[in-house]
Amino acid sequence: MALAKGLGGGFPIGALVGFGAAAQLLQPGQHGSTYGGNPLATAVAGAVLAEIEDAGLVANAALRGAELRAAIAGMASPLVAELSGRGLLIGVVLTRPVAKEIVAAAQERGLIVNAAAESRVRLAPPLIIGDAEVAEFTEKFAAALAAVAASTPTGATA
Amino acid sequence: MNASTFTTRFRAAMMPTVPSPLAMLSHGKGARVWDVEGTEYLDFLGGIAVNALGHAHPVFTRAVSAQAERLAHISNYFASEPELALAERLTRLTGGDAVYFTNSGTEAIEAAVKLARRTGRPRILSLTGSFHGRTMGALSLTGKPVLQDPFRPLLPGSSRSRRPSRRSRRRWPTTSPPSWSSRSRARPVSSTCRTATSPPREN
Repeated sequence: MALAKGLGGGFPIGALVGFGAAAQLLQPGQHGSTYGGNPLATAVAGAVLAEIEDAGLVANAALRGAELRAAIAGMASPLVAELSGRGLLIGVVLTRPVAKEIVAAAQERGLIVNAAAESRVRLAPPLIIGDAEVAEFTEKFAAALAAVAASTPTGATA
Repeated sequence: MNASTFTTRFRAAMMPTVPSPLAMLSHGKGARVWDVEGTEYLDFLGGIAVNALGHAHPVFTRAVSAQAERLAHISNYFASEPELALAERLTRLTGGDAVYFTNSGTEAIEAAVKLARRTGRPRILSLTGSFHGRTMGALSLTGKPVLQDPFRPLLPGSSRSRRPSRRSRRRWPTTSPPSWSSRSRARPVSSTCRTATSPPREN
């Protein structure tokens, strides 16, 4: 199992976890890293994971992810085809390849989202978000979707 | 600093691996970041799904500063308490048995590729449309021809399979990989699959 991304909460660190016999396949001298596992990176990752567990952030991700999905569905935008992902990693699958336009429209309104592909906007907010962030996202993302829907009529962006 | 200034500096000093940056950021707190001109943004990208605790979380900043004051780097000739404690935490959380630490996800995949080679089985399968990283071994598993084609030849033995349907799941056993393949790897949640038709911006 390969891990990285949120493991260090912003401090660069990754890990490979071996299961069963696979845990013993790499023998002394067969692989190595000067920096890998250094005290600074592992101390930070340990603190980040402890906070995720102690503060119940996995449960918060599930809760806020459901709220965001409901909010986006509630926008009833003609640009949104479906929602994918899990928890707070959300893919907004679009009916047209206007992800970059949506990202730009959102940024103009003070919201950073990401064009993972031409027809997909990716949301990956921190696991700590609460009511205020969900409400602000809802207002700004709805406005961005509306602006792009108004400026790119169906069929105009083939 | 205005937009044209940082864009000019970026183009002059940085290899052009990404388009012009969207903004020049200065600082953050929680789910918010500010650019160098003071504009505030709600950050729903989180450094591409990295900033689990948001920006400048006190747990993060305390951990960085406390460990930096004590012992930051020692090389892999030595062990440290934070290293062993994190390895133990990860085996507990994942149910795994042993951990190898890297500096990034793509390096974790590289380690997995070398580990897979040690099984003596030559093939490594990955999913069409998947993203596993940009270094040469990981890129060979990343199922996006647009990212791979400029860098062929890829790692010998690497090949792609379609996204698992009910039928192909039978061909992708999770408990006993086919003897020809060293292992099957599948990422259950992909944030970039399906609709990518141009090089996605990701790391």
